[in-house]
Formats: sequence, structure tokens, C-alpha cells
Amino acid sequence: MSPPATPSPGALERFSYDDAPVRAFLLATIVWGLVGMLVGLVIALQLANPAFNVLPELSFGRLRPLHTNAVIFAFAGNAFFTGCYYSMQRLLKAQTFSKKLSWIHFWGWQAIIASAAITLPLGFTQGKEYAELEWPIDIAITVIWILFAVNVFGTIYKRRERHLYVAIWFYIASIVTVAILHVFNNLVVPAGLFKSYSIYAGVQDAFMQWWYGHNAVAFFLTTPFLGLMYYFLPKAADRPVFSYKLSILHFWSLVFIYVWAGPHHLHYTALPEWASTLGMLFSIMLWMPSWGGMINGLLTLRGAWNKVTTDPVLKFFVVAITFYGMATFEGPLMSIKTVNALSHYTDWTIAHVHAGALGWVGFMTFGMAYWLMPRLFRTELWSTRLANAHFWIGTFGILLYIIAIYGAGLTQGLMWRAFDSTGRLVYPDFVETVTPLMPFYWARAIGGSLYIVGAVLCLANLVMTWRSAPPDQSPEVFEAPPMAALVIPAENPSPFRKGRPASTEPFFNLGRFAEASWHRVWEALPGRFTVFVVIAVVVASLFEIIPTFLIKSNVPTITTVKPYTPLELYGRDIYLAEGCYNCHSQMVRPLISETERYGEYSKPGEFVYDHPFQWGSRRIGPDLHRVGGKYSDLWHLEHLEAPAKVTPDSIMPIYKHLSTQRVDFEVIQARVDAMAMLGVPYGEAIKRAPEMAREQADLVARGLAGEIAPGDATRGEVIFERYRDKDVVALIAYLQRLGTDISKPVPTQTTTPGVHESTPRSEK
Amino acid sequence: MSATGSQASTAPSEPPLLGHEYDGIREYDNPLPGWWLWILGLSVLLAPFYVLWIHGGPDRSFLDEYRAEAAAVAKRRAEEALRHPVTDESLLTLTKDSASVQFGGNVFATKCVVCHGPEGQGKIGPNLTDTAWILGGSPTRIYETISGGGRLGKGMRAWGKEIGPAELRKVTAFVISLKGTQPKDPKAPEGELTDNTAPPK
Repeated sequence: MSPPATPSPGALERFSYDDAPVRAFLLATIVWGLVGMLVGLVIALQLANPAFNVLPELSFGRLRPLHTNAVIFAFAGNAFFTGCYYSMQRLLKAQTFSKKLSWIHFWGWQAIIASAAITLPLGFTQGKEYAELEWPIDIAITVIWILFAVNVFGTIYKRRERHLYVAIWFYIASIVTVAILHVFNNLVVPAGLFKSYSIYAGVQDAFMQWWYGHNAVAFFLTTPFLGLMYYFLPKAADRPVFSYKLSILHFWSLVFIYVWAGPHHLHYTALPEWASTLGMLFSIMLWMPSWGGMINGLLTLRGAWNKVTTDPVLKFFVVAITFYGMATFEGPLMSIKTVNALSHYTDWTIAHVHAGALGWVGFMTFGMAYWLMPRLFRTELWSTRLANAHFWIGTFGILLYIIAIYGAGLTQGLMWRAFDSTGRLVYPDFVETVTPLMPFYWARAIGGSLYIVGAVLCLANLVMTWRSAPPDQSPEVFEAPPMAALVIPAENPSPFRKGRPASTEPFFNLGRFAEASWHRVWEALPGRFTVFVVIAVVVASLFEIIPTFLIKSNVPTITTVKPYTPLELYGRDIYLAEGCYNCHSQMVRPLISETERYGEYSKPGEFVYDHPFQWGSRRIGPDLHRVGGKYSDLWHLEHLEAPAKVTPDSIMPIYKHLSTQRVDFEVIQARVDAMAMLGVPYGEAIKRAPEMAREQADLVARGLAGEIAPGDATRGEVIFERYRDKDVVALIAYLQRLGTDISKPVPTQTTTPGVHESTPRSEK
Repeated sequence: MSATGSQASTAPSEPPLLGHEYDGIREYDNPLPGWWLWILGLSVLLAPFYVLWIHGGPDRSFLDEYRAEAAAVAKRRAEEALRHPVTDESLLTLTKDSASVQFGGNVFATKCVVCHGPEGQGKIGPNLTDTAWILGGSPTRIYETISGGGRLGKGMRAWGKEIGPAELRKVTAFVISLKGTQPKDPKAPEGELTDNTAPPK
């Protein structure tokens, strides 16, 4: 544990490490992890049986964002902070920059999580996956993240170790990239304290969202944990890291290539096809950079495999790295366009994510936790047997979970595209493709429960180990010389440096490059190193962002597409708040099985007023982009109030509360104004949005009355009065508008040749 | 794996260790695995060729593929339609075949009752037992309404995408057979009185 004495002249400095925040972060990791997983279990049960949707606030659409946010930002986030604060101090031979900042970071982050746990069930959401939290919380996240960065870079600044170890490279990349992603995807115009609209619309918003979503997986769930692996795995195995050169090459290739791959989440959508192609190709290139981490992990265990059989820490790490390797092979596979045509919108994606989350992130975290417990509390681990039990129960749980959900994904994907010999869909009714999934969903719930049982055992072990800690926890004191001066070798090996000796040897520079000794200099200069990381990430981002935003032909104008009316906009906000996008996509892909089932495929020009876009990523229910006009208003009313009465076997939650909740007409003006600020041409609605909303609501309610009680004026009046100011009317108005503009007649006086383009994506 | 691992640790040719160490962690100076470098190199080098291929030639974009798929399905449909012509006469003849009407009734019970009620008395959708029709009451009109769907924004979905033509004819026959029945709680008539379902003279 003690740093080895380096025989160098000069006085040794005495210092100690600040591990109190590490202990707090570790406890928070396991506790929030359990909360996030329990919410996951609830939503798993809600899919297996809609009766588990007991309250509007606790229905699937609102809990699913809570589950994803809790496991990503609370569980994985706190785990990263735990390992980072522990390993950073030791790798840099310096105490954390500021104890106070560590505690502000700790409590600030927990407060953010608590506010997420309150606001998401209440329906405050930006409506973008994993970026649901509303703007005040986003600002808090930014502030706390910057304080964390200050604390890390401050510690790097006062380090006693000249060079940065590979784990620190990964921490730096994670910290700076997450900051960039978070800020640029969450740019919004507020329309109230807990209401805002993304500044991007449609295709561009989708692009930004999946640039963010994909790279959040990269820089929140992958690079931080690779950093942790590079510290905790060689420590636990007591073996040298397999290859320093591989560390260098896989780090830089990962940082640079990852950023490009985001569009693979949007194959066959209204995103331009060139972006799709880039997303796929860079995903395939990403395969080896990802596997570099796996190789370095598994081969570091050479000579230590005998320990794996006895040490639960190493068992967790081996399974985690194996899942990492599996998921990073599967990712490039799923990014291939034709594979994606089958896998996208199905549970295959969910299985892929959980192989990564439960296997890689979860098991890395648990392995790290068991390694840290005895060291943080200076005692023995309370029960190694319990830790081993956790490992086996958890592993079995993951396998049951993902095998069941791969089964569900393949089953549904194949049913969606099945055609019979007469050219018709074999399963035209969407619900026919849902009912066969129920056994898989129950198996998934059991697998997930086992995983939770394992996490409970971990919490018990943590609490009991903490309780058995000896009373004297005064920090251990270490000695080390101050940081050595930077020494650049006389013969600078850098292949990049001017004035190097000329050589006629072929591939001389490539050979020098592969030697990697130039990288030693970079490692000694953290400022320069960080700048290079930022350049790699920003350059890769701009190569895709700039064309997506600037090339007009990416989103050809459709003249008949008009902004949502004030009432429809309000209805759309209900759609967001209820989290409808968690189960319904609004993106009909140009695939015959989809146009047959849903209607005309979606065009980029149809989404220009969609702040934020609502294309979705999973179809638990059918796509809704062409739902406008498909059913009657009364059908929607009855369906929202009792889905299973209209569609037997439907697993949709009941939305009866929308028939009693009143429309808040007064907030509509602020929302229309916010949209107008974003350039949405609202015309007269800027002056009289609430009045216009009331007029349209009356119209819808009149229509409902006429449909429910044709010819009965007195009963019709009662029905009209009941619905004219209710949320459900606004939602129906929105749903009936969806995807209909494109089939409206082009206004004759303004038809200019070339402006109206109904089949826009044929440019070559 | 464990066998090779223990061999490696005892083998005389331990790979060279680098001089530096961090908190006790050392690093080997192992070269990059050859297969790793090859796959990485190939995935980078082959990428431009894919771009040239997919974006450089005709009939390879998403939309080109889609049009080809759609044409193939339309062809199958057309062949199927030729085998089952739809006329007022053929539909009315079918109403006399009790097996067909019963089959149509079974489909009606699974797909139509939600909106039209178990006895066709009307609920979300109109009453089918009276003589008023919103979109016309001739047998072919009824067939076309079921197949192509109702009024935009109000009506029913297009069942022709979900129910094959042979079954659709039987459903039509069943709907025609509902006329004049006396269900409980009938919905008031909607649309025009057009009793065109009488057998041809």
C-alpha cells in the first residue's frame, strides 16, 4: 500500500489521502443502485402486466426515465466518483485538491439525484432520453460537474508523480467530454420553471440527442469504467498491465472514433443517409479500440488466473470485462444497417444495454466495492462467502435477464416484418406481436430480481464491514519526493517533432509512432494532454454537426407543414410529460413492413417544428407518426380511458386522469412565445394563444359529444361541458394532427416550383 | 485460458517491463497483438470503399431498396385481387352462404365489436343495423369502406391492410346480414338513408 521509496535527492514530503468522501460515495453508489434497480423491476413488471401501473405518477412512461437516470447518473455516476477519488490520489501521490469541494460535489450530486427522483414522476421532462431532467437541474449538474473537474485537475496540478497513468487519461477524457455533451444537448428555451423546449428541432434535434446519447454511453459508462479497470484490476490481481502500447493506441482511437458513431441510432430514419453511413462505419472501426480495453484487462490476468477461482473481486472483474467484450462486439454488429432494420425498436436494444449495464458497469462496480471495503475501513471484508454468493446470483440473474430479452427482441422483430404469400402482414394488429412476449417479460423480471438480491447482499456486506471498522481511522501518512522536473529525452523520439534525424528507412515514422515513447512526453503535460482530448472530441463532433445543420438539402421544405396550434402544442406537452415516447416512436422507416402497418414513411421536412423531436427508440406500442386521422376522436377517448377495452391484451397504462385533469390555458401563451422565440412562425397565436386553444378544445369536445350521443342535444351538452377543458381533449387534438400535414393540399397561390417537395430524400 | 496463463507466469521469456510504476502498478512493454492491428487497419481502410459503393451507384439507397420492396408486394397483391373480384352480386350471393357469414361474424367479433358493438348496434362507430350509411350502403361500398377505412380523422382504420380480400368479403356479407336486426340500445342513425342492399332484380 505504501508508495515505494524512490531513491532521489531532496527532502521527502509527507502527505495523506482523504478517503472520507470515497466511503460516502461508495455507500451512495450501492444505495442509489438498489433504488434504480428496484424502479427497473417495477417497470419490468408493468410490461408483464399493466395492472402494476397503479398511479399516474408511477406509470411506465414516467418511471422508465427515472430508472435510466438513476442507474446511469446515480449508480454509475457515484461509482465513477468513488473509484476516481480513491485511485486518483494514489496514482498522483497527492491528497485531493480540496476536501470541501469533495463534499460539495458529494452532496450536490445526491441533491440532483433526489430532485430527479421527485421531478420525473411529476412529469417534468425535456422529453429526450437520458436528458429528461429540466433546465434548473441541468444547470445544477453543470455546476457540480465543473466543481468535480476543478477538484480533479487541482489534484493533478499538485501531484508528486510526473507522468499520468492510463487510468487518469480515461478520467480526463470522461470529465471533459461529458461536460461538452451535457451542455450542448440540453440547450433549451425555458417556458416556465419546469418547462422548456429544445433549441433544436426534428432531424437536428435527433442528431444532437443521439450524439449525446451514444457518447453518454461512451464517456459516462465506458471510459470512466475503463479507467477504474486500469487501476483496480492490476491492484487486485497484483499483476502488471498487459501492454502499455495497447493502452495508448486504444485510448486515443476510442476517444476519437466513438464520437462519430452516434447516427447508428438513427438508421432508416429521416436523418440523411450519409450520416447513417458514417455512423455505421465508425461503429465498425470502434470494435478493435473497444476490444483493446478488454484485451488489456483479460491478459493482465495472465499468471493470476489461479486467484480468480478464490477471489470474488477478480470474479466480478472477469465477468464484467467479458460482458464488455461481448457488448462492444454486438454494438458494431447492430450498427450495420440491415441488422439494425431488424433490431431497432425491439427489445434487442434493451438486451444489449443491459449486457453493458448489468454486466460491465454493474460488475465492475461491485468488484471495486468488494476490493475497497476492507481497505477503506481498515478491516476484513465482513463476509467473503456472501460476496461469492452475490457473484453467482448476480451472474445467473444477468444471463436470465438478457437471454429472455434477446428472445423477446428477436421474436417481435421477426413478427413485425412477416409477410404472407398474398403480400399482407402476417401480424397486422400490433398487439399480436406483444402478447407472445409475456413469458419473456416474466423471465426478465425474475432475472432482474436475482440481480437485485445480489445487490442487497452487497449493501449488507458494506454496512457490516463499515460497522466492524476499528475506531482509529486517522489517515495513514506517506512520504514521497516532490514532482520531478520534466525531462524530455535528448533524442526526442516524437515522430511529430520537426528537426528529427532524417531516415531513409521505409515506414521509419510509422515505426517510431508504434514505439509510443513520444507519448511519455504527453503524459507528463496534463494541460496539453487535455487539450488534445478536447480537440479529438470536438473535431470529430463538428465533422458531423456542421453538415447536419448547414446543408439545406438534408431537410427539404414541405410547404404544407405548419406549426402545431396552441392546443396541439399543449397536448404535445402532455405526451412528453406522460412519457409516451418511451413506448411509441414517431418515425415510420422506409421499410415495406412499416409503411404497410403505419402508413407513408416519415420525411425530414415534417419535423421542422418538433422541439424536441419525438422519434423514440423502442416500440412497446405501435408507431404514432401517422396516427392522425386513423381513428375517431371517440376511439382515442375510450382508448386512453381504458386501453384494454378497446384493444384486448393491450399493456398500455390507463390514462383516465387526463379526462379529469384541467387544461391550464393560462400557461399556453408562455409556451407559444418560447416556441416563437425559436423561430416557429406562430402568427396570430403570439397574441391570443389561450383563446385559440379554447376555441379548438370546444370544437373537439363538440365533436366528441356528437359521436357519443348523435342527435341527443341535452346529453351532448353535458358531454361537451365535461370535456371542453380537459387534458384529454388537448392530447387528442395533438394525436389527430400527427403526420397529417403532408397529405394536405398545397395552397395554390404560393406554389413555386421546387419549393414543395413531397419525396425529399432522393438527392444524390 | 488458465493453463496458458500459468505457463506464461513461469515461462523464462517474461515480457519486458517498463521502468515506470504507479501506486505499485507496472506495465509490460508487450507489442500490439497483430490480429488486433489488422482488424483495426482493415476496418479503417475498407470504409471509403463502402462509401463509394453505397453512395456511388444507383438502386442502393434506403429509398431505392424500399421502392423495390413495395413494388414486389404490390405485384403479389394485384395477383391476389384478380383471383377474387368484388361485385355487388358476388357479395350478396355470399350472404346466403351461412358458413361464410358465420366466418365473417367471427372476424367481426374480434375486430369490429370494440367500435360497432357486439350486435352491430354502434358505439364509437355508427349503428350497422339501420338503413343509414355514412359512406354509402351498396355491398361494394361497404366492402370498400371496410377495406379502405372511414372518413379522415373520424372514421375507422383501413382493414384491407390487415384482413385479406377473401376474409374481407365474408365480413362484408356478415355486415349486410345485420341489417334490420333489432339490437338492444341501438345508436341513433348517422348518415344518409340508402338501402341499396336489396338483392338485384
